[in-house]
Amino acid sequence: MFRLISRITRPGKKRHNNSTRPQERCKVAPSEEKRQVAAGLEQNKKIVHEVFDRCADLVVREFLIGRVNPVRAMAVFLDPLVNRDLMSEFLAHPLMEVDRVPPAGVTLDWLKERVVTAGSILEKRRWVEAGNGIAKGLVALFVDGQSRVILLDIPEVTSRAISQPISEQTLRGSADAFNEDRRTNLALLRKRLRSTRLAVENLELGTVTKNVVSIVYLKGYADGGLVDEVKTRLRRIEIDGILNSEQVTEFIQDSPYSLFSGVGTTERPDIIAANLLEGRVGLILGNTPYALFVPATLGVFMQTPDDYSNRYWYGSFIRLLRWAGLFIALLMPGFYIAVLSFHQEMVPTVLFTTIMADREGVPFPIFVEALIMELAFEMLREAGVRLPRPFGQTISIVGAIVIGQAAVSARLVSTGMVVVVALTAVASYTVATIPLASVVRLLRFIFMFAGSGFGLFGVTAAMSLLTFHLCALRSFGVPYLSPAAPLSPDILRDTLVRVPVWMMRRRPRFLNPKDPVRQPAGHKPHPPAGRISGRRRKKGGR
Amino acid sequence: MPEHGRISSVQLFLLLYITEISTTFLIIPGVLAKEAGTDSWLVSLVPVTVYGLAVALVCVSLAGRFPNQVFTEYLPRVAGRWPGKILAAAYIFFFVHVAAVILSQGANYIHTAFLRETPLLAIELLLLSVAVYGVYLGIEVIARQNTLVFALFMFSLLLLVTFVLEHFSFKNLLPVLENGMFPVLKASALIISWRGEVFFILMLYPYLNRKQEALRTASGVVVFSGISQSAITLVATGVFGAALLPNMVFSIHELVRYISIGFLERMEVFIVVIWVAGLIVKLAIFIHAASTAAAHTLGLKNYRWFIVPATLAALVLSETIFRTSLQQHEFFTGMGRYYASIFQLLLPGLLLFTAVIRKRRDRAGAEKT
Amino acid sequence: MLKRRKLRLKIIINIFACLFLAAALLLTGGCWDRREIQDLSINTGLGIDRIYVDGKPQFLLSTLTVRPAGMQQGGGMGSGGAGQEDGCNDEVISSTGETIYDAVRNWNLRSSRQLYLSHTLVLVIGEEMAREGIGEVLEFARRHRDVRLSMHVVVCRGTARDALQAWSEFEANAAVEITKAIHQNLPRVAKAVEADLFRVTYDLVNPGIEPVVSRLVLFTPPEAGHPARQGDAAGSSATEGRGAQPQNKVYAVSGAAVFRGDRLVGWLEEEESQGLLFMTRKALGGIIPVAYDSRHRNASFHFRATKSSVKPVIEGNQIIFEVKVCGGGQLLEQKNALIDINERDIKKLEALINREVERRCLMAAAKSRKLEADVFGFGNCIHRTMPEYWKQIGGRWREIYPTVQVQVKADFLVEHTGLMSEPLEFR
Repeated sequence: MFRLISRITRPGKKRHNNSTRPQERCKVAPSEEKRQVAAGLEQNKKIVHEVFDRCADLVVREFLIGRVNPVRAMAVFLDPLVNRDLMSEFLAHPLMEVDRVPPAGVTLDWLKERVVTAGSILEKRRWVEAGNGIAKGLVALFVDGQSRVILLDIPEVTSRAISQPISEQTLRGSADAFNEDRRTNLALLRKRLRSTRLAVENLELGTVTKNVVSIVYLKGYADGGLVDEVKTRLRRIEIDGILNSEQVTEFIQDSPYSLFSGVGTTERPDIIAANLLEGRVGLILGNTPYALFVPATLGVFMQTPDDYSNRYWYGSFIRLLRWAGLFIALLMPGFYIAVLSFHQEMVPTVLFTTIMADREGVPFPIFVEALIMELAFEMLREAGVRLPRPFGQTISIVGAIVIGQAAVSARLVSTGMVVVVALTAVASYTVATIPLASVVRLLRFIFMFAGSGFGLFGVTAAMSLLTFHLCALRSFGVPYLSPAAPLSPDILRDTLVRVPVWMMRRRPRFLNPKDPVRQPAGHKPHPPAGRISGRRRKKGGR
Repeated sequence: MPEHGRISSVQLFLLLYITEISTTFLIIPGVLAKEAGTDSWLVSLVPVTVYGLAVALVCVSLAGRFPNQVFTEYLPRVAGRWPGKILAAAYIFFFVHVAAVILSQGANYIHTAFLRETPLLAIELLLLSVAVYGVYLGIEVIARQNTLVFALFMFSLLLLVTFVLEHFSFKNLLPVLENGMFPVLKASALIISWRGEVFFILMLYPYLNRKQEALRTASGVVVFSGISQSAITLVATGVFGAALLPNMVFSIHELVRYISIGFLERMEVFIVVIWVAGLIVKLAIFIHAASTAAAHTLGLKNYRWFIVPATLAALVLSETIFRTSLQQHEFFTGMGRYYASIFQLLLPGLLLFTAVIRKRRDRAGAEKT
Repeated sequence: MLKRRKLRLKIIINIFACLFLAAALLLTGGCWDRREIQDLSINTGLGIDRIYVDGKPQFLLSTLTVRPAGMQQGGGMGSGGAGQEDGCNDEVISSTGETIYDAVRNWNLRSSRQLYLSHTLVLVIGEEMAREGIGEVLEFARRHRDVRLSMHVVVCRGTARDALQAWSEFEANAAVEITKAIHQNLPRVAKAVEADLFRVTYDLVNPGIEPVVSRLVLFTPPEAGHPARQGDAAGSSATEGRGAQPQNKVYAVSGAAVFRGDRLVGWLEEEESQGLLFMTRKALGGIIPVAYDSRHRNASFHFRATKSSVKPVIEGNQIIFEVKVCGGGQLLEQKNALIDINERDIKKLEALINREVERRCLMAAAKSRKLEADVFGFGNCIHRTMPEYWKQIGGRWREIYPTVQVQVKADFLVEHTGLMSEPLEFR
């Protein structure tokens, strides 16, 4: 049993050193892989129809290049993924209006450099690559007599416009969020980090989905070892489909069994940009609006852009409030149960009298009551997520009336319990990010169990277990509770409160950035020196 | 190298501090008041600190000769093969014994003051299981957890003192040195074994990041815990008076109980909550030391095999050593006073002496990081 | 492959076994110490008396139990407790036992709930019990894990059981009323002492100071239409004491009960306790009526904060305590425009005030000497300031105390005179 428990709770221990295994094994027969593009067009056509049999949306468009002795060519593409207008503009028009063919004949180089006007062009030799290219939405141009194929990128817009973030709303921040198109996402990021320092490295994930993930980081800021580790872990992923970023997270985490996520996720490009500036590494995927960043500590999950858009006094206050909300959401029901079951002496007498009267006639012990209420609330919450809008109103009324009023009148639960549950729910919504909020909702039940078993000692013991676990967690080598657990002054700068920008002079120490200094000293704003303000500037700046 | 964890000097400071204070701050005023009366606060401040500094000096010097090895590892080298192994076994027993004592005291306190019906075994199991998890995760995790515990501890101690100040009266501290220094010295014998827990640095030395700061850290711990104990005793004496303190088994518990500000009453559960957190860390340290020592004495690398035996031994011992609180009381005011100093000062002192004479030193050079 | 499958099965079984055990442990059977609120009773007042059953001395324990609103009262309507205000029904339940703890457990012979003392605000000790000795009571209170140290201790004439049943004017709960009255007393009237459990134990254990405790006085209210007197069937009895039921009486907290050791030896009346408060620096506010140019008191001085210092002086074999009391306050009332706002009149007024204060202090000192109980802590003072001398005489302090002299010097300042400066002149 000990081994069982240790297996579940084992945090980022060193695993066996797996060398990177080749991807895409046993998907394509080796002979197939080496098959070259045939020189003859008819052969290629046959292979195309073989590979893409039963694909009704495959288009094979044949051209004739040149007026005198025309050379046959064909463009093969998947209709939904290619923009037809642009295709005719970049490919069909130029090709079909070719007047004079060069003396050497129609070569691919001549086509690439002189005729085809598309933006990005690749030249491939093997059929596997051609087939993959067509499947990804490229247009494959086969020319009769050439044993290579040109792949052109003429994409159709298939994702929604840049819109507001769905789950990370802010009052005063920018409102553009990532969408499902990786190129757009990269554009949003590059718009903010307009420097040559921004490095973008691409990897492909998933043998069937072939999702391209872009590893972004700032050269000279991010730790080199970190980048290498990220790439190693991504290359290790061997799976047929990656559909959302959470799957990637689960593959690259340090501790796969832990409740807490070691990878940060966000919909907002400004958060990614800020994290990159601190020295983290970001992962931008296609088909999901959620980008990832590593390494992630607990503080990261409690930050929102609103802290930085508001004045730092208010931002700090809100942040402290959020931390308090985290603890309330986690501990309140357990605390309530513990105090009322074991430590009744702590309750002020008047309140105790009221609670006693309140609970008269309630048949369940406090713990069962709490469990019922909490579960009912979770169900209500889950129902609310999925309901179409017309029903949203109904659910809130049902919730309020049934739970708030009727249950209390029917003496199924007591009023105090309703208050506690409501407060907990409100507090759990102040937790800034969804991964942490979900964890808190789960852990709450453990504390309720512990509280009903041993009172506040049970809660303390459970809390100790939790903090032991958190202290041992690492995210890509960075301790999860930095800057609190290995204590560093950063805790006062950006974790518990938010200090003014001119005080944040260094990047977080625990990220081991290559260039730790963000801004030089002496940036505190002050009125101009001289007779106007009467204030003299001190010698030597700050 | 026993383990790959690393502790910084600050973490070591906090760890040793909590190891010492977390269980003692509850009972020290009552224990001292019987002997020293109104001068109890002087006891923690002067004589005991001297003892603690001596222990720190001896232990750091001894550990410094073997910077990459845990105490029980180099015991055979210094004292000879068989005496060394016997001494190592004695130390293992000492760690387990102290863990058992702490466990039984702690469970006893919780049982007496709060959970009257719960069997002691259940409380002990609860505490132990959390501590064992911490030991399993390693010394670095314990040190990190301890940072949080320390913050909580200090915060609540400050709150406690602030709230209780309205009842504080300087008159209770007079007359000073009524019977001279002798009762102070006599009383200091009661608590030296707790201050000497600085000797843990013998077992923690190889994990330190910057070993050259070890002596500074250790002496800092001794002095700081002396100051905090003295402050607590001062406050307790100032509020309750020296005549009433000996009647209280758990004086700080009563102190917190006495606070009543507005609607805040009977807050002693909070104190106990923090105390429990500190107790868990202390247990974890002791069991970790016991398992590491056992592992090295038997030549094994992985100390984790010994966690379960050490824990079980501590559990069984804690159930059997003290049947009644009378026996406990007799142990602590009788022979138990000097029991720990043998292991903290006497033996390391002798070993240091032997090591110097026999020129035993680990010249392996710079610490491996 | 098979091995892995077996291991997986083992893991699953283990998980289920753990969960089942945990669930069984926590959900069923209760966790030893878990107490449901419905199993507890809130007792805000505790009363201890001495009664004799079949000639054997026993303890009579009475508790003032709160019955929160919404709870049905099982059984008898009009009897038991007097018809109280809306919100709470209080009831006094009593039990007997050979020792106090015996009585505590015997309490459960007639009630379905646990006697829960964590919310007890006041401990009332009957006069007879107090005269016998309160040491046992205090030991019980201190060892019991639920009792608060800040619980007030009062002594009443008569039995505590009757005291707990009396009518409370404002608060829903009599114990709350007593406690608040004591709290209000010090800063407003200063004619009663405040003693919580800690204070009493402290005074008992420390040499050189004797415990004083508040005194609870019960009387039939003089107003004939008072609601407390309506339930009295006899109705016409205007006399206090006999004939009137306990629930037809009201409280007053005034004066102090003086103990020597742990036995009650006497009372301090109102002015004497004011003197005690002056000398121990506990008087926070109150009124000193003075007689200015007349035989009867015609002006009031309201003092705010007082300070006092005690200095022991040894002259040969005689111990003299020099007490200085000083403070400030305002003139709040006068008759016939006698006192004008000029230096001469004010100085005269201050002299009169000082004399009155000194008189009250000396009265307190005289009474305490008569009762042979050092309630001021003079012995403690010697212990603190002259430890060597105390070593000689400390053992015999109780005998020496009646022979000490107390000299009081008061120094009060009339700081201002309220909202009016010149007195009202009637023309």
